[in-house]
Amino acid sequence: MRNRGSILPLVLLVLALLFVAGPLTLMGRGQLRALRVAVAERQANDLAALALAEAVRRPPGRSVRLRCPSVASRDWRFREVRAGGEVIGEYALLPLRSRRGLGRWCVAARTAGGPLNEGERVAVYYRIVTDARGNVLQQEALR
Amino acid sequence: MTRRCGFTLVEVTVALVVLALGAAAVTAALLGVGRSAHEAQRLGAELAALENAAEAVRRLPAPPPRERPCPGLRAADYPELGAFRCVVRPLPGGGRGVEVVLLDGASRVLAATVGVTR
Repeated sequence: MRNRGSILPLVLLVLALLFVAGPLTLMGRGQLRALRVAVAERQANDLAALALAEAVRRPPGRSVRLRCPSVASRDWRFREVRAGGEVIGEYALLPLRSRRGLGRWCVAARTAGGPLNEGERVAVYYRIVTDARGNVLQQEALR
Repeated sequence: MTRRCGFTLVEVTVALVVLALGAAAVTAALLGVGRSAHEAQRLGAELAALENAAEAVRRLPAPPPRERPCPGLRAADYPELGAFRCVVRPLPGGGRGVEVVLLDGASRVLAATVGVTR
């Protein structure tokens, strides 16, 4: 008598592959998102460093501000920065009242969320204390 | 009465349709995994190149007067990005700021960030 095969092993194989490939795809997407955010975070921090370099170059007049504004405040005056011909993001810088020889700054930087930033909008806000030469003595993230 | 053996045409058709759908889903998922892995490699290399270029820019005494290659960055170290070049350009408005741009073979922008010179 001729042996009759079964499609059961094939069905099981397809089902097993489905159960493996699905989670793998999800994990891959999560990892991709994390990498995109890492690129945008790097750019936001580079923009903040640029803001600080600007601050040291042009020391402000005497400031009366004692505290940094909240992250949602309209007091931040953002300035756009372009790289590679496209907007990469913007930064804002506010001086705080400080003792002689020290600089106290509120720094904000955010990516534009465009193709240069892999579509990710990341914003960073810091309170920074510098010495007279612009070396960072203290850096604290604002919430 | 003779015993019926084998499958009817409807049974075979339904089985084939189910298998085809499953195989299509598996293929799509595996292709997606492959693409994600490739994209992740590219992003990782891009991030590393930008970080290394921005770090190298910090050691420059001043922004270059015009576009120049990124200091100390070799394209061969980032094979995932293919044939690319990294350039540093002064930012408008003076100061210590520069833009760090990765360009592909056709001079299209792959990635960019800003840097600050010493």
